[in-house]
Amino acid sequence: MQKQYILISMVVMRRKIKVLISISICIIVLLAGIGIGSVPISPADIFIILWSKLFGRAIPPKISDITVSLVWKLRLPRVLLAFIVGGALSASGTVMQSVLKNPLASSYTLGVSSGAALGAGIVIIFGITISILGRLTLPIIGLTSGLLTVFLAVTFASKIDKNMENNTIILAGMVFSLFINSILTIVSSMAKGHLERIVFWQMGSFASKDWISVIILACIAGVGIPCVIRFSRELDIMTFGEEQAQAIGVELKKVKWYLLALSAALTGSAVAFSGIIGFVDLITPHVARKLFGSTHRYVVPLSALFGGTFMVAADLVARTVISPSELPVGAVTALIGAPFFGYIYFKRRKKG
Amino acid sequence: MKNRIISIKAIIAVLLVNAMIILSFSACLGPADKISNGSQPNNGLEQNEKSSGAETQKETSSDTQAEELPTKDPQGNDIEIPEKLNSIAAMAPAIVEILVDLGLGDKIVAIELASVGIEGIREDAMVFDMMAPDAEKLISLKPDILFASTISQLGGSEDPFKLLQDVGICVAYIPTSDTIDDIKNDIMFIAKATKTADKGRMIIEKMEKEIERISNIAKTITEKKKVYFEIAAAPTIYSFGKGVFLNEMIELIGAENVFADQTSWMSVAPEVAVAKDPDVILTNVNYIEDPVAEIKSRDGWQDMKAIKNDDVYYIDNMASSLPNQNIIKALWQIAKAVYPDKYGSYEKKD
Amino acid sequence: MLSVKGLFCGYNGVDVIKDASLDITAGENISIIGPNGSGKTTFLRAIAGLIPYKGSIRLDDKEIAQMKRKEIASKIAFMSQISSIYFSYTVFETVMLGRYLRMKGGVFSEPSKKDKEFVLQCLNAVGLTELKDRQITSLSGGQLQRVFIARTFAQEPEIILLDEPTNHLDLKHQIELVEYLKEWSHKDRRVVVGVFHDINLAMQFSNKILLFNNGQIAAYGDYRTFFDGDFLKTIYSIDIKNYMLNSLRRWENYG
Repeated sequence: MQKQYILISMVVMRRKIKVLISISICIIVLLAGIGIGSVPISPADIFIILWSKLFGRAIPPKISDITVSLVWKLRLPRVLLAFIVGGALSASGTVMQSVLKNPLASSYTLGVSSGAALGAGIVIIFGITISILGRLTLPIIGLTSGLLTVFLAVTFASKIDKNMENNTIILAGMVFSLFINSILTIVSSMAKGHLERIVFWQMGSFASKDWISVIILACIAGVGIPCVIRFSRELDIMTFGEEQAQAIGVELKKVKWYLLALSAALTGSAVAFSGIIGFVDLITPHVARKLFGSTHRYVVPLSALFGGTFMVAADLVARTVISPSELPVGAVTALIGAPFFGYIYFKRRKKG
Repeated sequence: MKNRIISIKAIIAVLLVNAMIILSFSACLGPADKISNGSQPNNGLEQNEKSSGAETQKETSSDTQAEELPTKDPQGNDIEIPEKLNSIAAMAPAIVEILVDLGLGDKIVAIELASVGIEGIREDAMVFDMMAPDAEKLISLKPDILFASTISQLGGSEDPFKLLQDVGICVAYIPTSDTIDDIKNDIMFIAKATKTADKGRMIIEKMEKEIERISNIAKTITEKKKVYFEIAAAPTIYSFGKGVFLNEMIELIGAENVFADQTSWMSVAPEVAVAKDPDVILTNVNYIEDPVAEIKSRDGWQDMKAIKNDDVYYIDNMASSLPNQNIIKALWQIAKAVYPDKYGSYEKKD
Repeated sequence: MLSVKGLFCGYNGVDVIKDASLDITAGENISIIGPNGSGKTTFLRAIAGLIPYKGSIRLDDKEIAQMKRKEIASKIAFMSQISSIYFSYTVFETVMLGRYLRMKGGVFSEPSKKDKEFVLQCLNAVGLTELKDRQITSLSGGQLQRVFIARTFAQEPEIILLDEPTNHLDLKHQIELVEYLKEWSHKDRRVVVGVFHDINLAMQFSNKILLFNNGQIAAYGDYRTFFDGDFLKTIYSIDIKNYMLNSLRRWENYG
C-alpha cells in the first residue's frame, strides 16, 4: 500500500512541475506582449511602470510619458483583454467538447457568436447608444443577443427532445446560427455604408480597448471559469455516457443547463468585447488533455491558461507583422490553429 | 530686259504679301470659328490679347493648341471629343469643381451624389451614383461628353459607362492624381477638352503662385515639425505615406509626415500613432460630428504632446481630398495649423 | 426493500414492460434471464429511475419517481451494457468517479485516504490492482468491464443492478466475479440483481431467478420450482435442456 501511495504522489509531482512550467511560459509571453511593438519596452521598464502605478509611486524621469502611456493605457489593457478572452473561450470550449462529447465542438456551436454578431451589427448600423451604457452599448447588446440566441436554441432543443440529447442540441444550435446569420446578411446588404465596420468587428480585434472592458470581462470570466471548475467531477463523469452519469448520481439535466449557460456567458462576453475569434477554444482543450490527462480539475484551468497565452501571442503577431496596419486576430488564430488542429485530430484518429 | 526683272520682283512681292494676308486671315478664322459656335465666352479675351505684339505669336500657337482637342484621356484611352460641348456630365466632385471654375457650371447636366451642394451648378442637374450609375437615364440626358473618375471602375462592373460609349457618347476617364503635377495636368486636360485652355492656364498659374509663396516661407523653416494626418477616424484609422498629394502638401509647407516611410494609404494601429508622438495632428474626417474631440478622447493618447498642447486641427475635407485647384485652400489651412507663426493663424472654415 | 407493482414502461410511448410486479427483500440476489428483447434492460433502467414509468416502484417505501437523483444513486448503482469512453482516464481515476456522492470536500481537495483505500479494495475485488495506473483506452474489453463493475462497487450502494456484467469476460473472470458478487451481497444485507445470458452462470449466481418474456415476468422464484425443459422451450424457442445435457455428456466423456 505504501508503494502505491508513493507512485501516486510522484505523478502528482510531475504534474505540479508541468503546471509551473506552463505558468512561467505564460508570464514570458505576457511580458513579450507588453514589451514588443512599434516601440520596444524592456521587461525592467514594464515592471517599474506597473509597480509605480499599482502603488502610487512616481515614475523615474528616464521613462518617457509616452512609454508610460503605451504600457499602461494601450498595451497592458490590450494584453490583459486578449488573455482573458483566450481563457474564457478555452474554458467554454472545454465544456462544450465534454458535454457534447464531440472533439469538433466549440464554444460557438450553440449559436452565441451569430447572436452577438447580429446584436453588434444592429448597434453599428442604427448607431444605437443607450445613455447609461455609453461606449459599452455595443458589447452589452452583443452579449445579450448572444445569450438570447443560446437560450432559444437550447429551449427549442429541450422541447423537441425531452432528454436534451447532444445531437439535438448541436442541430438546434446550427439551425439558429444559420437563421440569424441570414438576418445579419440581409440587414448588412441594406446598409452598405456600415459594411466595413461590421466585417471589421466580426473579424476580431483587441485594438482600442479600454480598461473598463478589461474589468467587466475579468469579472465575468473570474466568476464563470471557477464555476466551470466547480463542475469538474461532473464533467469527468459525464464523458462516460449520460445514463451512467445519472446512475452515479449526477443531476444530468440541471448540470447540463448550468454548463451550457456558463459556456454561453463566457463565449458571449468574449465575442461581445472582441469579435469572433476562432480555433483557440478548439485547440487548447486538446493540448491541455495531452499534457495533463483528462481530469477536468486540471484541464479546465490549464486550457484557460494555454488559451490566454496563445491569444496574447497571436495578437502580438497580428499587430507587428504588417505594422503600422494590423491583421485581424481571428485570421492569425485560424492560420496557426487550423493546421495545428488537423495535426492533433488526425493523429488521434490514427491511434484510435 | 529691265521690265521682266521688275515683273518677277513684283510677282514675288505680291505673292509674299498675299501669303501674309492669307496667313493672318486663317489666324483670324480660328477664333472666328469659335465665335460662330457661340460657346466660348473667353473669345473676347483672346481677341484682346491678340492685339498686343509680343503675345500675338504666343496667342497664335495657343490658338492652334486650343483647336487641338485631346485624343486620349488621362487614363490613356482613345477618345473623340465632339467640337460642340453644350451639355456635360461630371461624375466626380473634383471634376465638377474644375468645370465650375472654368466657367462651365451651367453646362453640367449630370452630377453624382458627393457633388450635391457644390456652388455654381444648375439646380436641375440630375444626380447619379458614381459607383453604380443608371446608364440609361444618363443617356437620356444626351450629354455631349462625360467626365468620370477611374474610381467608378472599382464598382460592380469594370466599365459602368460603357453603355454610353456604345451609343457614341464620349467618355473621358481621369485617374485620381497622386501628385500636384498630375492635378495640373487634369485641369489642363479638362480645359483643353472644353476649349477653355486659357482659363485653365490661369487657374494653374494661380495655384503655382500660391505654392511659390508657401515654398518661400517654407525655406525659412529650419526645424521641421512632425505631422500626423488622419483621413479616417477610429476604429479604422487611416493615414498615408508618400506617393499621395497630401504628403506632398505636408512637405511643401516645410513639415514632415510621420509616416513618410510608408507608401500610399494604409490603416494605422493606434499605438503606432501614439509612439510616433507627432508635433501636430491633423484630420479631414467629416463624417462624425467633432473629429478633433474624438481624437483627443482616445484612451492612451492624452500623453501625446500634440494633444497636451491642443495642436489638433481639422482641415477642410473637400479641399484636402479632391485632386483639383482647391487644394490650395487646404494647403494654407495646413500651413497655418502647423506653423502659425510663419503662415498666420489657423481658421477653421466651415 | 424493493417493491414493484403493475409496472409499465418503455420508449417513445411504446411499452416494453407490461404489468410487472415483484418484491425483493434485503440480502437477496436475483438473476434475470430471458430471450433478447424481453425487457430485461428496460426493467433495470426503470428501477434505477433512468426512464419514466407507470405503476409503482418503491424503494424502502419511497416511490422512485419522486426521489431525487442523488437519493436514488446513493442507494442504487447501475451498470449498463454499453460502455462509452470518450476521454482516457486511468483505471484508478475511473473507479474513483464512483465515489462521487460519497466524497467529501470540494473540487480541489484530493480524495481522502478512506476513499483511496476503498477504491483499491474494489480494484482488488475485480483483480485489477496491478493495472490501476493504466489508461483505460489501453484495456481489453473484459478488463474495461471489470473497471466499470469496480466503479459500481465504489458507489457503496445498497442495491447493485448489473446489465450483463459477464459479457466480455473470460471464464475465469466470469466465475470469479460471480463468486465475489455473492460474497459482497452477504454483507449488510445488500441486493445484487444481475442480468445473465448464460443460464448456468445465472444459476451459479443465485437460486432466485426472474424470467422475462415479451415484457412480462414469466416466472419468478427459486428456479428449482419452475425449471422445466418444456417450459423453457416455449420461452426460448429452443430445447435448452437437451443442449445442456449434451454438453454435460461431452464433458463427462472427454473432460
